[in-house]
Amino acid sequence: MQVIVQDLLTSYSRVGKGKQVLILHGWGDSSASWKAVAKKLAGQHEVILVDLPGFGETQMPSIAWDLTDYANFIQAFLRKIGAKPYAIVGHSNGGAIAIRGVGQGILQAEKLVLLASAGVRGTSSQKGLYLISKVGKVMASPLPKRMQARLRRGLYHKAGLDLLVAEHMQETFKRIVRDDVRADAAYISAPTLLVYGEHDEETPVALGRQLHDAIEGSVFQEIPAVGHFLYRDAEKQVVQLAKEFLSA
Amino acid sequence: MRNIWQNVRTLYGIPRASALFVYMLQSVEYRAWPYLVWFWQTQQFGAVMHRRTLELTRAARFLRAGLFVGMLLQLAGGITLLYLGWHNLVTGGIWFGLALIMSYPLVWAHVVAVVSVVGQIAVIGPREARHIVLAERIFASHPGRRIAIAGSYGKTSMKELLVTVLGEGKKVAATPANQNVLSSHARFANSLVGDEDIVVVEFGEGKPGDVKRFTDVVHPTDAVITGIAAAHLDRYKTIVAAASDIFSVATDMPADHVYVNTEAEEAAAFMREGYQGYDRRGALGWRAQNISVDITGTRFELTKGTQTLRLASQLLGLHQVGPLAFAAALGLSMGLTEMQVVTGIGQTKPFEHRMQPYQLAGAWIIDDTYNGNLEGIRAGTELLASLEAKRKLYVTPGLVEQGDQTAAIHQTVGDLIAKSNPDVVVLMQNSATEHIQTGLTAAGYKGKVMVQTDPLDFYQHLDHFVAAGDVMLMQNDWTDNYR
Amino acid sequence: MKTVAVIFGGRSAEHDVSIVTALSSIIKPLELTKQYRVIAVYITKDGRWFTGEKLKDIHLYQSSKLEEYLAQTKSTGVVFDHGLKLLVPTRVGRKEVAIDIVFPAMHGTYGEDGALMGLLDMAGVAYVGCGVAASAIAMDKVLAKQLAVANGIPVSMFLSFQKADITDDTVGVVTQITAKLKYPIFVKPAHLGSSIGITRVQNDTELTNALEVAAYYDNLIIVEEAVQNLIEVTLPIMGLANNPQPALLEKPLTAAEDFFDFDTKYLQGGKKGGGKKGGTTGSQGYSQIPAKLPKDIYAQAGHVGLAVYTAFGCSGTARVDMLIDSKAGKVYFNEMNPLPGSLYAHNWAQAGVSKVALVEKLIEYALVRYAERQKLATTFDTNFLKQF
Repeated sequence: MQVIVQDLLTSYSRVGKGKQVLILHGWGDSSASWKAVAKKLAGQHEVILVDLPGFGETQMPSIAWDLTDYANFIQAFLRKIGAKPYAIVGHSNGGAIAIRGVGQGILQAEKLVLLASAGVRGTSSQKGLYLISKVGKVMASPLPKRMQARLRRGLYHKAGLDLLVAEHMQETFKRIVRDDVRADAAYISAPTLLVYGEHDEETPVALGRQLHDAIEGSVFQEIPAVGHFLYRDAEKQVVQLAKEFLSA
Repeated sequence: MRNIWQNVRTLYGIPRASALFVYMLQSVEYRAWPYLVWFWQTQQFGAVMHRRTLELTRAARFLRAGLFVGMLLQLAGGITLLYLGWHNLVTGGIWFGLALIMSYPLVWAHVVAVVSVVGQIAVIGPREARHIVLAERIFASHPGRRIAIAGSYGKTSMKELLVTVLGEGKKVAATPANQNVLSSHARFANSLVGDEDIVVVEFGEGKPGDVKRFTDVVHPTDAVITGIAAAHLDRYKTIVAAASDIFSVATDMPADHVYVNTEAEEAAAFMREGYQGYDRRGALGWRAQNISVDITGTRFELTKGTQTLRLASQLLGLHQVGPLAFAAALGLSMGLTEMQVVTGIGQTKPFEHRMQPYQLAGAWIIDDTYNGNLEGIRAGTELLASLEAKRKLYVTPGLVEQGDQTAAIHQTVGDLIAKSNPDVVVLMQNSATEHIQTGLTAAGYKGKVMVQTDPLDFYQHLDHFVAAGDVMLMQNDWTDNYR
Repeated sequence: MKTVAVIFGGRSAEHDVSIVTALSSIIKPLELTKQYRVIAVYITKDGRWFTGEKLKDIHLYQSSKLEEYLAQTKSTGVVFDHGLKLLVPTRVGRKEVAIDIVFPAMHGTYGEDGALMGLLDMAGVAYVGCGVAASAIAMDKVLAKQLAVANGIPVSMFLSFQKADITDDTVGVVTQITAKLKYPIFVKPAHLGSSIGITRVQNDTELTNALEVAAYYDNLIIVEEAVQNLIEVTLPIMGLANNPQPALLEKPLTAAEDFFDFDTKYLQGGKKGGGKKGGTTGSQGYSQIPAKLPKDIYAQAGHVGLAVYTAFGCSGTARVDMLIDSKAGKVYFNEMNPLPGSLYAHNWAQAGVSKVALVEKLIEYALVRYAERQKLATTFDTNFLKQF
C-alpha cells in the first residue's frame, strides 16, 4: 500500500494480527526481501514492512538525510497509518535508525531486535573507505563521464563500499556513515536483542559487542557461519530467536 | 555490397573458410558434385552454417586441418612472391603473388572436393569392399527369415512397424535408423548374433542398380515393396527405371514372398502373378473394415472368416491402414497370437518428423518434415482433409531431386494441397514455389497463401502462426543445399 | 509492400510493458507475415522518437546498451505531408519514409489515452486500435463509468473529486464519501493505467491516506464501493464497432491478496512459478481461460463486454474488465483498456486466433476504418472568406 509521508510517496504493507512489529530494512535493501520473515512472524504479530525513503518503492528524499531524519520519517509514518509498534526489528542501517529513534525518544518500542545493526562508526577501515571514495572522485574527474562512473564503481567495489548498491543516495550515504549511534544506545532502556553473523564483514561481531556494551541489559547472540544478511541466510534461526524474544 | 563484403570475410578468413568447406562437404555426405553445385550457387557464405555446426568426425578434422594448412601455405607463398616481385627478384612476382593471394579460397574449395573423391576411391572404397564380402557370407548362412524392404518411400516406417509388431513374439533384428546402404548393411551383418528369427534390412536406393547390389549381398527370403514414386529422379531419370530397380529385389524368391503396397497405381503396374498386395482394404487374405482416423491415431478391424481383430495404432492416416494390416497379417502367419498382434499394433507410433503429432500453443502440429515425396504429400493432404479443426494450415517447401519433373510434380503438389482445402498454405521461397502456386490456382484454391523467405525464422516462430483449435501439417523440410 | 510503424515506449509509467507488447506481440508477428515492412518507432521516457532495426531486439532494453545506443543515434522526426512521414536519420542527413499504417503499442499516458491517436488523425494516416474519443474516455475512469451508466451498463456505486477538493477539505470529502458509500471502498486516480495509486480501504484513516496518495498521482480521483463476493474477469474484444468479436472470458488467478497491484499485474507476469491447475501464463501471470463460471454469468459478462465496446465506439481491439458479485450473480463494468498488454495474445491464441492472425486482422480493421473515414466529407467549399 501507499501513503504520503513528509511529502514522499511511501510504500508499505501490513500482514498478520497481534502486537505490532515494525521492520526496518538495511541500506540498499527493501521490504520486499523481508516478505518471508514477515510471513513467519505474522502468526503472532501484525508485521509492518516499510520501504525506507530512497529504497524499494518509496521516493527518495530531495536532500541528503541522516539517521535522525530517517527516525523522524518513521515517526511520521507510524502516526499516519495509526500504528504503535510494540517492537522494532532493524537490520544493518535499519538497526542504526532504530537505535537513534528509540535512544532519542523519537520512536517508542517496548522491545528492540537489532540484526547485524550498523551505527558504530569511526573504525579505521570505515575512515579508509571514506577516503577512498574521495580520492576516487578526484582521480577520476579529468576523465569522460562514462569512464568516471566505471572507474569509481571499480574502486568502490574493491573497497566493498555500500555506495554501489544505491548510487543515487550518495550524499545521504556519506552523511550516514559518519553518524554514530553509540551515544543514543546508552539511552535505550527497552529489552534489546542483538544478533550478529560470525562472518559478517560489513558489521563485524566486534562492532555488535560494542553496541551490546552500550545498551544496558541487552542480550547478544552470534550465529555461526553466516554473514551480514543473516535474516536470509539463517532465516530459521533468526525467526526463532526473534519469536522467543518478542513473546518472552 | 554488404553481401560481397561478408562473403569476402567468410571466404578469406582461413579458419572459418576451412570449417565452412568441410561443413558443406559433410552435409552432402562427401559427394563432390552436389558440393560443387552448392558452392557455386551460394550467395551468402556467412549464412550457410546457421542451421547446425560442423560435426567433428575424424574425416572432418583431417580435411579441415588440411584446408587450413593448404590455404595458409598458399597465402604465405603469395606474400613471398609479392615481396620478391616488389624487390625485382622474381619477374612477374607481383602478379603471381597477387593471383595466389586472391585465389586461395577458390582453389582450396575445389582441391578439397578432389581430395574427398580420391579418399573415397583409395581408402574408404577398398575397406568397405572387404566388409561387404564378409557380410554376404553372414547373410547367406543366416537361418532366420531375411525381409528386405524396398521402395521409393515408407521404408523406414515399414521397418519400424515390422520390428514393433513381429517383435512381440519373435526375435527381430533390423538395420538402424537411416542406415540403408551397402556399407551400413555390412556393419549390420557384423552385429548379428545368428539366433534371430527375423532379420529386417532396409534398402535405400539412390541410383540405378543399387537394389540389385543390395539383393546380391543380403539374399532376402522375403521382400516388402512399400511403394513407387518419383524419387531420386536426378539419377534414375524415369519412374519406370526406379521401379524396375526396386522390383529387382524379388528376382530370387518365391512370388508369394513378395509383398507389394498396392495403394498407389505406380506399384500396381509392376505386380506379377503370385505377388501379394496390401492396401487399406486389407492384406494376406485379411480385410480391413470400420476405419477411423483422428489426431490421436488410426483404428480399424481386421477380419478373416469368423476371426476379427480390433486394432488401434498411434500412427496417423488412412494410408497407414495397409501397412498396419500387412504387419498384423504377417505376424499372424508367422505364428504370433492375436493378443500379441493387438499389443504390437497398439505400440506402433509415429517416429520423429514422420506424421508425428504434437501440441503447440493449443494447436496440433503434424510434423512430417522427413517426408520427401509425392506419395507422402498425397497421404498427408488426405489426412489433413479428414481431420476436424477450426482452422487448417499446410506448410511445405516442396520436394527435392525431382529432375525435369519438377514443374509437373509441384503442380500436382499444389493440386493435392488445394483438394485438402486448408485455410492457410505456407510455402518457402524457392524454385518449387511458383509451380506449387500454379497448381493451387489451377485447382481453384481460394484460401490464403504465405510465402516465407526465411524458413528457419518461420520454424522458430511456429507458435506465432497457430492458435487453439488449429491443425498444422508440415511436410518436408529442405536442407541447406537445396534452394 | 506496405510500411507499418509500430510506436512504443513513451512517457508513461507503463513504458517497459509497452516495449514487451511491441516486440513480442506486434513486430515479430508482423514481420513473420512477410506482408509488411515493419519500422520500430521507440519513444524514450523523455519523449524523443527513435527508429532502427536494433530497437527490435529485446536485449537492447535489458541492459545499459540502450543508453549507449541512443547516445550514438540521431532521433527521428515526423512530418505531416499527405499522410505521416518519418524523417529517419541516415549517415548524411535524414530521409523521408512514408508510413502506410501505424500500429500504436503504447500503454498509459501520452499513448493509450488518445494523445497519439490525435496526432495520427491530424496526420491523416491509418492506424490500429481505438480512436481519440474511445481512448480518452477509457483512460478517464470517471468518464468511462458515466458513459457506461448513460448506456444502461451496470457499474458499482462511485463518486469523484478534484484534487483541490481533497487538499482543501479532506475531512469534508471523507464525510461525503462515507455518507454515500459503504466500506470496503476503492480509491483510484482517475487517469492512470495498471493499478498505480489504487488503494482498497476499510476505515476513515485509510480512506484519508488513500485520498492523499491518489491526489498525489492525479487531479481527478474516483472513489467506488467494492463489489462483494468478487470475481474479477476480463474480456478481450476485437473488430469494428458494429461487429465486435469476443475472445474468451479470462479470470486472473494471481493475488490471493486483496486485489492485484502493479507488481502482480506486470512484474510477475514474466516469471515462471508453480502453475495452478488450468491456469496459463499471460501478461497478468496465471489466469484461467475460459473463466469457470456458471453459464448465465459467463453469458452476461459477454454481453456487458460487447455493450461496453459498442458504447465506446471502439474499433480495433480493447479489453473490458468486469467485476462479478458471485452471490448476487451480477456483472459490473469496471474498466476499458483500449490497448491490452501484449494485445492479450495468450487469450486470443486460446480462442483460436494466432499471433500472426491477430495482427493481420487488426491491420485489416485499421484499413477498413481508414477507408470509411476517407469517404466522409470533412471540408466544404464555401464562399465564406469571399464574403468577408
